[in-house]
Order: sequence, then C-alpha cells, then structure tokens
Amino acid sequence: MHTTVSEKLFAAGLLSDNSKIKVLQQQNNRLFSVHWELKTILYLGVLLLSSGLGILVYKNIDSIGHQAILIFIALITIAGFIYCFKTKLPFSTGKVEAPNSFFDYVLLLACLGFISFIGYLQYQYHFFGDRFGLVTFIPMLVLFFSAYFFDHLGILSMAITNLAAWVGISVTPLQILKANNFNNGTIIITALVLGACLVITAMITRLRQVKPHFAFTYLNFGVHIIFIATLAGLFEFEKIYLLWFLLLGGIAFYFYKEAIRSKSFYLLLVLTLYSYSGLSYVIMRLLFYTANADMGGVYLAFLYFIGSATGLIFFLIRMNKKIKNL
Amino acid sequence: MIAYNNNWLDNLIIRDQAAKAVDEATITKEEEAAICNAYAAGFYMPNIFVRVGLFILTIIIASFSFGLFSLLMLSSSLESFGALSVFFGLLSYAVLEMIVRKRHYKSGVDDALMWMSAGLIVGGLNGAAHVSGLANAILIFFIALFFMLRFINMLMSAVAFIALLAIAFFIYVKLGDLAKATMPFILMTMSALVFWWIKKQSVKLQWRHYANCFTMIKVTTLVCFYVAGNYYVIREASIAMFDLGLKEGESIPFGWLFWILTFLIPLIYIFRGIQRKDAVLLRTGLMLVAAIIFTVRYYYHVIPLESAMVMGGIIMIAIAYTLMKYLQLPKFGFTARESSGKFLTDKLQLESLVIAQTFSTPTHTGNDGTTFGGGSGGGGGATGDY
Repeated sequence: MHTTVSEKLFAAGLLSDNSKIKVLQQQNNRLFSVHWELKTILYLGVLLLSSGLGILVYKNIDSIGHQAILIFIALITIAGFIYCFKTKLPFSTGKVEAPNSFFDYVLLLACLGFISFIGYLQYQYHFFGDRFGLVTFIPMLVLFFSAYFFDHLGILSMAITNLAAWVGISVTPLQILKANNFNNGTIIITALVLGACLVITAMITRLRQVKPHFAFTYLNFGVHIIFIATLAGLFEFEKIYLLWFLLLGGIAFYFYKEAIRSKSFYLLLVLTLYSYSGLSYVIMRLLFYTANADMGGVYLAFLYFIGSATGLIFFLIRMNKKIKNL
Repeated sequence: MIAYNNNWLDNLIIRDQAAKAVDEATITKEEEAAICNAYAAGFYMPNIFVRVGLFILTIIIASFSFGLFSLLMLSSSLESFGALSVFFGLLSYAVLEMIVRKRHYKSGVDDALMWMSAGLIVGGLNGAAHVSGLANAILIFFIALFFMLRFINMLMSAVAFIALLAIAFFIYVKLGDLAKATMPFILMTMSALVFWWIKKQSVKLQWRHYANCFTMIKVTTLVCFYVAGNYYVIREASIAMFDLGLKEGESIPFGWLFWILTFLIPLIYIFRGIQRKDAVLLRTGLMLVAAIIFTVRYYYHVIPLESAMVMGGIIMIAIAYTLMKYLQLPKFGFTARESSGKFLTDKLQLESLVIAQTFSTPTHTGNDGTTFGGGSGGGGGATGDY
C-alpha cells in the first residue's frame, strides 16, 4: 500500500494505528521477488537439458551402445527417486509442501527418465513383446504413485495424459483436437467413458478428501474430454443426434450445478461455450437439413446467432452476479 | 478524456491496494471491508472468465449483425462494402459509448466493441480507397491513441507506439540512401525518447489511471529498441526491403556494431533491472536473451544444437539453483520467495498443464481401432521428442 493512500485512509479513520505502522514497515522493507524469474529459468533449463540429452542419445546411438544408454537413463531415474524419497516430507492425505524449490524438478526429471527407460526397453528389445498396453500402463502406475506419494500436480497431469494414451486418445491441451480421429465411434465412446471417470474421480477426491487439491486437475481434464466427446458424437452419429443433444444437455446441467457449488467462473464459461456450439449445430441442422430452408433460412440463421448470443450475454451477466453473491 | 467515471477509477486503485495489503497481512480483513464500503466503485466488472465469454459473444453478435446488414444491402463493389464497414465501425463505437455509460468497465463487451470498431474503420477505409503505407500508419496511430486515451487500453497503447515508429520509418525512408543506412538509429532514438518521456510522465498524478498503459509502452519501447539494433533484423530487413545484395555469409556494413548491440542491450537491461529493482527491465532483458541465442545460432553453428541445449540447460539449472539457495534469506532487498498475492495462474494450476503439454507421452496412433492403445514403442523417451 502506498504511503499517500495509507495516510488518506488513516485520516478517514479506516485504518488502525497498528495497521498504519505495519503498512509503513512493509513499505520500507519491500523485497523484490525474483521467484517467478528463477522458476522459469529452472523449468526451461530442465526442458532444454532433457530434450538435448534425448537428441544427443538418439544421434550417437551407434557409438554409445544401447546398454550404456539404458544404464545412463536408469541411473538418472534412480538417483532422482532416491533424492526424492530421502528429502520428502511425511505423507499425508492433505496437501504436502515440497521440502525445497528444487524437489519438484528432480521428481519431474526422475519420472521422465522412467518413461524413457520403459519406452527404450520396448523399442530396442521388445521387452514386453506384443503387449503394447503395458508400455504405457506401467509408467502410468508409477506416475500416479509418484503424484500421490510426492504430491506433485504436474506429475498428476502427466499421469492423466498417460492414462488417456493407454486407452488410446491424446489429451494434451494442444493436441486434443488435432491428434485424435474423432470420426471414429470407438474413440468417441472411449473418450466419453474416460471423461466421465475423471469427473467421478474428481468428485470422489473432493468428498473423500484424499488430496483434495487434485480434484481440479481431474475435473479440468474430465470436463474438456467429456464435452468434446459428446460434441463429436453429436456431429458423427447423424441418425441419433438428438439423443446426443440430450446427453449434452444433461452433462451441461451437471456442470452447471458443479459450477454453482464450487463458485467456478471458469467452469461456467467452459460449459456455456461447449453447449452453445452444440445448440447452434442442432439449430442449423434443423434449419437447413430438416426444414430445407432457402435464403430466408440464412436470414433466420443470422437472426438466431444475434438473438442467442444476446441471450447468453444476459445469462452470463446474471450468473456472474449469482456466483459472486453466493 | 477518460470515458469511465474518474472517481470510481480512483476508488478502484484504493481497493486494489487494500486487497494487496490484506494479502501481505499488513491490514485486517475488517479494515479492508470498511475501505471497500467507503470507496465504492459502481463499475460492472465481471470475473475474468465471464469477461472472456462476454468478449466472444459480443464478437459473435457484432459479426452476425454486420453480416445481416451487408446481406440486406447486398452490393458487390469493394468500395461500397468498405463504406459499409466504416459505417458499421462508427455504429460499434456509438454502442461502445452507450455500454460504457451503462457502467461497463473491462467487461468484455467494451473490449470487443472497441476492437471491432477500430478494425472495421481501418479495414473499411482501406477497402473504400487506396491508402498508402504512411497514411495507414498515421490513421492507425490516431485511432489507437484515441482508444488508448479514452478507454485506457493497454494493447491499444502498444499499437499506437508501433504505428508511431512506422510513421517515422515511412517519412525517413523517403530521404534516400543515407536515410536507409541510418534507419536503425532513428528507430532506436525514437524508442529511447518515448521510453524516457513515458518514464517521466508515469510518476505524475494526473496520469495515474494510465499506469498499465505506461508499463505496456515501456515494454514495447524496450523491445523495439532492441529489435531495431538486432543484427538479424537489420541484415534480413535490408535484403528484403532495400534490395541490399548480400551473399550467403556476407556481413552488412558496420556489422560489428550491430553485433555489439545485439549482445549488449539485453545484458544492460538485466543489469539495470537488478540495479534499480525494475521488474519491467529485468523481465524484458531475460526474454531478449533468447533473441541473442537465436541470432547467433542463425549465422554461426559453433556447436551442434543438442550440445548447446545440454550445456545451456545445465548452465540455467545451475544459475537458478545457486540463486535460489543464495536468496533463500533475503539479500540486498532480493528474495527468491514468492511475493504474496494470489495469482490467477495458481488457481488454474497452469504449471501442471504446461508440464503435461511439453513433456507429454505421444499416443499410439496408427492402431487398427480394435483394441485399446496398440501401436509401437513407448513414450518419447530416447527419441527426444517429448
């Protein structure tokens, strides 16, 4: 707080003597925090180092030899995990802080090493034979274990993407739409079930209070996967698209309740935009396929978008007020 | 000049400082509540996510209204379409003024209408008539300056400054060959002048509501100052714009000078940033270190990329580790601890998403769709593509 502001507030009788002194002290001993700068440098360093090592190994595969590489990766992994086991704070079902700011990155490096190790083993020696599922399943177990045992949200996100990879879909933020072939019925159903499982896990996590701060990560992945899968189903299964639309409505209603309960503006925005896409698709379909509209239909469509978007604006404004006053 | 209620803007500053003071535990929650009561701000300021939603929806409404409008007046010529755009841009502006009267302040609706209005007017004029580069720069400068001053918009302030540089460029370039050769210094001088001027202005009480705009302009001027003297930019721009016939590996006149500038400027930013405890200078400098590396690597392949990555990674980890240990307890007014204050990023757990994205396991595509997750091999790993 600025001194001029605190003087003004003090004069208006809004600050106690005690608070005014504290404000002045704070003002005189203000520290310049380079926390985020250092963290970013550290993160970029880990990123550069691990990808650089990857390329280095890949290029020199002939001269180094596979065993040497495997041993090297194993050493990094084991050293990382030993460090984490030694320094970690005691386990609890609540949130456990990292013992130091370096801990999270060592754990990250160890987990990445482990994934590389398993992948390499399979790639070079076909260790798991034709049971390809195991290649993602084992790292997934280790990742979930590490996420809970060492309390690391980043590892949890990696575990969830690994779980999705194990069931056959890609869910990283930039690839969820690009890398998946959503014209495939199996993938849609798989994604739908996966999304539902994640949402349910989020609910159980919250109710049981087992690492309750993990709930948002589960929910965040779950909500996007389930909505995208439902929209894909809506576009794909033409004969029963109204059924999918009903499903979309049901899911939107669930998340609406959830948004109100958790006072989440983010969830509100997400559910509004996904449902609006679905609704607009159905309206356009009804207009141009079912009713076979001509130029008049185009005008109607324009009017629909203007009207519906206006309606949604009022909805969002009302919801903003409602959630704020909860 | 500012479209919003000035008293309320003042009160927002006070409320903001009170909220920060509560986070720092210097004042009590009750005091903050009393302050918020005493200094009311009647703006409609929704949550950031609602703002995003309102922004998107307003763009949808405005675009479809414009579409409907053009359909009704169906005309094929570009000129009349341009005129229609300008008219619609002015209409958007009228609605914007109305919305602001209705107490909207950074609500998403006003942001959307502002950009629609500016875009349609500039685009429409370009459609209606041939506008030269200089005229466009002048037009954009005045429109962006106006919107920045009236609606205290950060991005508009950056646009205005870049347009100002473009004006200088277009005027100066007409003066001939000497002008082309000295162009970097003109642009650098302009950036430096604007930086000093803004720095002097930003402490004045009358400009208090433009604090964010000033920060934005400072960052933009610092980046432009660097870019104007960067070896890569000058060499490639000279070839592309001034038909400088350079062969592969040939340097530009006074190349050594620009190499010095390329290296020195970010380091000076970082040094000054640390010396003055100026986050703007420090962060801009750190960002521009990436530009140094890029520039060098573009022309000289001293060591292979992967070795450079490994070495760079180790150096960065070492620097971050040492400084974190060193600043565990505050020294010289610096601390490695988080300054108090709630960040939006914490709430969204953004870091975990970044980790999931950059270190992701590729899925096994190419399966025959019969079983779950077939495919070959494993997660990225040794192939280095995680």
